Amino acid sequence: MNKVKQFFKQKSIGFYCNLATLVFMIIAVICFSQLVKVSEIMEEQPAAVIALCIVAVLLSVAAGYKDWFRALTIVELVFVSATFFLFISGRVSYLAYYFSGDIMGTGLSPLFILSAVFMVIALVASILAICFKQEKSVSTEINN
Amino acid sequence: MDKLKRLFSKILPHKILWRVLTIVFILLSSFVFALSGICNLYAPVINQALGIQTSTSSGGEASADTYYYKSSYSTLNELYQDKVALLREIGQEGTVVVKNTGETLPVKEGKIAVLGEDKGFIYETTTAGGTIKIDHSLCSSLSDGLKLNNKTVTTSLDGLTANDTAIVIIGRAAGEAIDMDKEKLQLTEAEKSLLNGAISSPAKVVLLISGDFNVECRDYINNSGVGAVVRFGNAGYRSAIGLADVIVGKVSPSGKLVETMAADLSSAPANINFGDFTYANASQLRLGFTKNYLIYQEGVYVDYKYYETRYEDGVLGKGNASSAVGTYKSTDGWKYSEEVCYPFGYGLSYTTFDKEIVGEPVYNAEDDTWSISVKVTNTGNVPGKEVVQVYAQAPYTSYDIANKVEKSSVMLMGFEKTDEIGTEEGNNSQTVTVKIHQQWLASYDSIGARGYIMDAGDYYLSIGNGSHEAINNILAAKGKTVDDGMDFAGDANLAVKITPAISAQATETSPDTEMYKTIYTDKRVTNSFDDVDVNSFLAEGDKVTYLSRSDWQKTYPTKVELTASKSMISSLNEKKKMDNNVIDTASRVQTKDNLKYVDKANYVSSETVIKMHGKAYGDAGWDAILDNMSIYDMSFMVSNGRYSIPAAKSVSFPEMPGNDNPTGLWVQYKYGAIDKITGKKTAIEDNATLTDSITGDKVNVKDLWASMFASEPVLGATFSHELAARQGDMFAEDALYCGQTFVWGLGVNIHRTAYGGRASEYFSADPIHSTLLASDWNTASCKKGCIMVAKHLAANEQEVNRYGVGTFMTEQTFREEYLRAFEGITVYGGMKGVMASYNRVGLISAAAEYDLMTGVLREEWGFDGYAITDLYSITEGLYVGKEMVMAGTDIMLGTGYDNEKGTYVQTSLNVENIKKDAKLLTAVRESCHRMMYAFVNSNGVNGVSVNTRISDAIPFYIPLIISLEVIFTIVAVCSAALYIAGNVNLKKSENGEADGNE
Repeated sequence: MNKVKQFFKQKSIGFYCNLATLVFMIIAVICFSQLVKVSEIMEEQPAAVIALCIVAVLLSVAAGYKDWFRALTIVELVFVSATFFLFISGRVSYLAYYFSGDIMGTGLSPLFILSAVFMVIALVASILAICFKQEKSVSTEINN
Repeated sequence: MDKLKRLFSKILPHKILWRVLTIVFILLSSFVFALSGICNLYAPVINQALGIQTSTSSGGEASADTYYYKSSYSTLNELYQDKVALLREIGQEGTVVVKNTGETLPVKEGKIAVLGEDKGFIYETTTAGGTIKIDHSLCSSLSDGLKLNNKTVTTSLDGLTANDTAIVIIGRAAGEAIDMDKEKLQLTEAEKSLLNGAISSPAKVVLLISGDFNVECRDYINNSGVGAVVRFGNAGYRSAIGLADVIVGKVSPSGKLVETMAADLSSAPANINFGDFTYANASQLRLGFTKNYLIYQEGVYVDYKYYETRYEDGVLGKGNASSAVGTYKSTDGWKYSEEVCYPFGYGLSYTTFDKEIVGEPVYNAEDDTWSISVKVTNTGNVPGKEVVQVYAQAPYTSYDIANKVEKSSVMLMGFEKTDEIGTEEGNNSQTVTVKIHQQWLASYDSIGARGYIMDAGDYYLSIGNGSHEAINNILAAKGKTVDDGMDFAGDANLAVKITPAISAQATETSPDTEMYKTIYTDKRVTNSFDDVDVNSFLAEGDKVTYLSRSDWQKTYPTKVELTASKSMISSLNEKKKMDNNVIDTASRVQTKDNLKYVDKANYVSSETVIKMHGKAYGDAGWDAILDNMSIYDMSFMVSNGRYSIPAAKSVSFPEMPGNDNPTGLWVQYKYGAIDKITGKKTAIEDNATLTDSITGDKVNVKDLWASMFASEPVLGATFSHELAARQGDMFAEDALYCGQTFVWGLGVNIHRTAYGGRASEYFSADPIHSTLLASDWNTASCKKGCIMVAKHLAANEQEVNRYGVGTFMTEQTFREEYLRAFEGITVYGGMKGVMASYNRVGLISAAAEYDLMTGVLREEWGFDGYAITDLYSITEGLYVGKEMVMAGTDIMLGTGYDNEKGTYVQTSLNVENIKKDAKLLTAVRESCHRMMYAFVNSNGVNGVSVNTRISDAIPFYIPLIISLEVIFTIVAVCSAALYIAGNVNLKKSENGEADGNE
């Protein structure tokens, strides 16, 4: 127990941002896979989104354990951001038709909204994870 | 080296800069990465919006030899002037005057106050076929038209005298994806106040109901203070000037109503099952697109067929017609006169006409038609045109009752419009001959004969100013009078009995079942849609009752609340339904042995499709073309039908761009002139203008759009074959001048209720009326190489839940009401393109329904054109491409698979899947055959010769996006590297400091 306490005691904002990325990407991938189940036949594109999401989650775990001069966090951002934009790009016509009033009576799917919101939160968290230190240290980074 | 070290030591400490750049460029890079995907997927849409073609033809030149489809105009100016003149004429003949008392109309003198939404409902409300581009500067309002007719127009009642006229405009707007409802079609308080104000003024009052929807206003229609009532739809650019011409009496009105004006618009039984219906167990079954249903319980009794049939049965004392069920405005039992303001087909003129049936109707066995000649005499003081409408009545027998065959008391069979008569002495009469197809007198019997039947008994043809006069004439011929309960006395001389040559053995209880065993092809016409009747899925006690004239009271529709039965559930599960349907359709595709295909990307053969121009669909030459077509081209062609039919390089088939909308092409003109001999096109010069011959306005040609014809109900109200043909011709001319080959724009669904949002896109409430005008239009369009795509096949009469709603009805209703117009245009109008609807026919998506898209459309009717889905990209759950192609729908209106570019939405039609499935290959090859057959006979091959070859054209935005992607990625990688290096450097220096400290 003490070890765990000690572990978290050493962690700084960057770590928690990374943790938030991890959590929200997992929730997002769950929502997205449910969304795909109910409304999509698009096979490869959802698979690509889910694959990118999983890689981002793994990178997030790795970066949380041991980042190497922020390199893993940066790569993680690449994957989180690619996941988000790929997700949105697969929904272009859906959004276009929604905003032009062509999808009657159904509104935007709650699963779509949840997936998008969680991905955006994960994206913001992963940007913050680059900006802040993962671990508390005695020395202070210059210009950080 | 030292220099480099010094440089790094200077830049590495700027960590914030590198971090920000890293983050920004990673985001930008991901965004552009996604953007490039979007650009690939939606390339046809983007290209269409930007006016870019993705393939170019070379080796073909404009010449007299390759100018297959010729324009009648040398310049856009000539075309434009004829077009606006046509729009004005359509406005004149599409104006329907239903009430005119006390010489209210025409307005001969005095000021005219135009009150209400003049522009709003006259031309701005159409959203047909998605969005439409409106050039407001070219739209004429009623006021504009009145001023052109030298009238003084005001917008206020102030100062009006008894010599003046107030025109109160009311109307409603709807369109694609937006339905009407009862509340929206009521008069608002503001409208009532406007009308009351006008009525209490000294001026004469005209109530103009504009837009393509009726509005409930019986009290005002009947108000003696309202002198005239006029109906007019969406006018487009110049048709409101035609309306003004009628108002001022420049021409006499000759338009007729395209749907019944009911006192209460919800009084038609179809309204009871219109709107949002969800299976009671939908959430339990977790249904998506399949959760909604709609039961057309009213059967064939749509619009006037309900009111007139119930009226006749009331007069004849049959079927409990006068019971209180279904009454909305009547007191003491159902009464026609209280439920209906004006009937279908009704319209007044400023003059009067006498009509006389000349001789006996004549049957022509060669084309199975009856011809009836009618002499029309103008007995009034002003010239005018008149429509001769021919209605028919077929006998309703005890066999029909036993086998649930329904018969409307009158059905519109045909019409002809006279020329303007009464223009001079001796020119006051004209005899017109109306041809009617006897087959339309047959009824579909899905229970007993499982085919079309001709009953034994009396058949009548009747003429009349609308459906009500027609039934009254038939009743008069049957010896009925006002004393029997008729609204007014009919004229027995205007109804005539005919005797179709049915089998001598046919009796009241045994109809002729052989006469229409086969109709257009050798295929036996028999039940194809048993599962479109919801009762096929329901247990005995749960069965739905369809409306029957045998007992109006017992069978009158009620809201059907349905729980999906066990036998429906497997088909309601989208994935399972598709899997099952793929197996089902595959079992019906006849695999062709030893089919060849070319398994090479970017392949160009020596075979060219243009060789097949003018050749029959079944010509043996097609085999060589298809054998040499690359499978990559085939895969791409069937899956990418958004605003074009893709090119096929392998057989030198050029890309065929096209457009949307029954109110005109939603594109700008590209050419200012087309040489009449060679077809050589000249692009529009910058700053080119023309002068509108009607308004005198200067029009900037570069900004001119081809859209905004009057809506289909306005053309429908003209009841004019000539105008429909001229509109078809003008669409084809626009297509030539805009560089388009097809238009998804011949709407032939019907106005099932008063509330269907896309009323603007469909002619009327009657399928035969739609058939006849659409056939005139399409025949003319085809002559100039423009493929009009008829839509939406089938039973797509509402917007609510249109994505996937399961529509159920009897096979008789489906065939006689909702398929008839498509059947008619195929057979009589040479239809070459059809669009499947979003909804399900029963439980199967229309585009994936083999019996519909192949069994009936192609095998029974002989359709040899191409079929396209409705917009696919938002409806992924409706069907899969494989299912669709094997069912007989040839191309997805969307963006599908491109093996060469590696982009995809729909994988079931990719090259690998086609190669490994002989049935799919057969179906895909046939689909390509149909598309190329249709389009090699379109204006898209103008300028194409056997030497023409097709090459890819890369749109400018593709290299731009690739460049941005490369630049952003490089900047992101470099920034990240510098940021990480900065961190490493910092760590090193921290470690160094720590060492020093130690």
